[in-house]
Amino acid sequence: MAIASTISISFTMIIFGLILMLFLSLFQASTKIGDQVELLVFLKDNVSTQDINGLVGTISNMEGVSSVEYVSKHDAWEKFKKYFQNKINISDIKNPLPDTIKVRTKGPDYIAGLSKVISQFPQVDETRYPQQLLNALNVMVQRITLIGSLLLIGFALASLVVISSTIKVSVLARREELEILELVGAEPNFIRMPYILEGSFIGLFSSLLAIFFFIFLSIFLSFAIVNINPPWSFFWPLNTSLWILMCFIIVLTGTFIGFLGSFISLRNVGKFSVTKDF
Amino acid sequence: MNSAIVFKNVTKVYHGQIFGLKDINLEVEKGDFVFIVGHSGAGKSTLLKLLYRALLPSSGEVHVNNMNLLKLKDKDVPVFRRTLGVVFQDVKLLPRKTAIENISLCLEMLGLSDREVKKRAYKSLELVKLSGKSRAFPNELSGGEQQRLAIARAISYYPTLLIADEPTGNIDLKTSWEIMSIFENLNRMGMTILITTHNPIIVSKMNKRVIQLKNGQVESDSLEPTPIVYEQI
Repeated sequence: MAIASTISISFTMIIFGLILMLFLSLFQASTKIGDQVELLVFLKDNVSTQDINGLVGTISNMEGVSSVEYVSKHDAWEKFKKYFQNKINISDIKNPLPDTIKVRTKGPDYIAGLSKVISQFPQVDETRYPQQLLNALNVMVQRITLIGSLLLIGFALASLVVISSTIKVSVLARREELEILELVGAEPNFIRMPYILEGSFIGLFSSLLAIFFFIFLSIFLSFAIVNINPPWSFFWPLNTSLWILMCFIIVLTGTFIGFLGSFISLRNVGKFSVTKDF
Repeated sequence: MNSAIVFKNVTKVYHGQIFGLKDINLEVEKGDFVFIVGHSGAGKSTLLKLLYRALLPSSGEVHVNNMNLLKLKDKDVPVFRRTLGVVFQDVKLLPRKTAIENISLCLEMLGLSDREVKKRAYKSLELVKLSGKSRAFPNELSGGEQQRLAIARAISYYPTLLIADEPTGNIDLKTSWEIMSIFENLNRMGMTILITTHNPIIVSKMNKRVIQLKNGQVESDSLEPTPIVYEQI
């Protein structure tokens, strides 16, 4: 049982892990884009420095705000001129830019709500953020989550069928042993327990093998593609927390599949010793 | 209420048409020593399987130790089987366990302490004169030793009823007598013994009750073996 099941579960967990890694990478990328989106708060003309400082303080304390940066109209214009100095002639133009507060949020979900609240302040002329981009990102994250979850669940179920069949073959090979235990009066759970523990342990061991595969794969790819050196290459292309999450999901799924596969294969325990001829 | 085994009008039909047993009525008292004899296909194995509930009768009732096996729920079968000692024709020893482990594993099911399990297991091996082979695996034992180990496992529960299916089937006469003397000693200790056999010499010399089956029916049931029995076995 052990070798065939370990190979079978390891391969299954590698494919499962690849899908999971792809899903988590896409999720990570879309979250990263979302986190970089800023809410721009344009202030009315002639707002006093005291009012601006008060507003910055108020916004900083609002829920979902991670950082606030005030950019005066003068600084913004200097930056603009520096950027366009060799491209267009702007020496005759009067500074049209307003004082601005750049608001970074803890996540894209906070932006719309904050924009609505902040736009109500009397010092604020208007607020802007890339709504379409956020909407598109939102849809993308939802789709990735849905498709990824469906793929993973579907694959886990398919793995379960493959693994329970592998274990079933091993159980059938030990059918005589199971029948003997039944005939001498062993309770079904007494017979099942060692096999279920063995199945769960094989699931756990196979998952760890799959994780080792991903560590080597990550190191190889990080060297070959993005030239990152260890120890960070262990985690590429995911960040540390997502990598840990991925390992956790693989170990949990592998162990559970080993457990469930054994359990399903052993559902006939208690009936082996009864002759089916009536 | 002194009966260890009662068969009341028991019929067993396989696949709806082949008779294993036909309207069997018999009673075995507690403390009896009984041989079941008959040709192959006479119904001996069917009768034994009905006793340890590997089969259910098509009609009639089987009572073992005052328990109606038809009324026994599936979940209670393991507990019931632990009240019997069964020696199977093909010994049914666990190949990957040593002699002592084969016995201990069964005793662990009773929820006994490790000390008690060890004590009983060694005592059972001692009773069948197999103490020196406690660490041997079944494939390292001779046919007779395997039979004795199977007996040791069966008696380790301290059952009141011991059932043995052809316990001398594949072993020489000398070893067969050794095994029979073990059964006789157990019977003297109060255990009810039911044995199926093909061996006419053993049946005649043991001078015990003999039930002869033919075509699934009881042809004779006597305390003394008769010449007809020898010819027909």
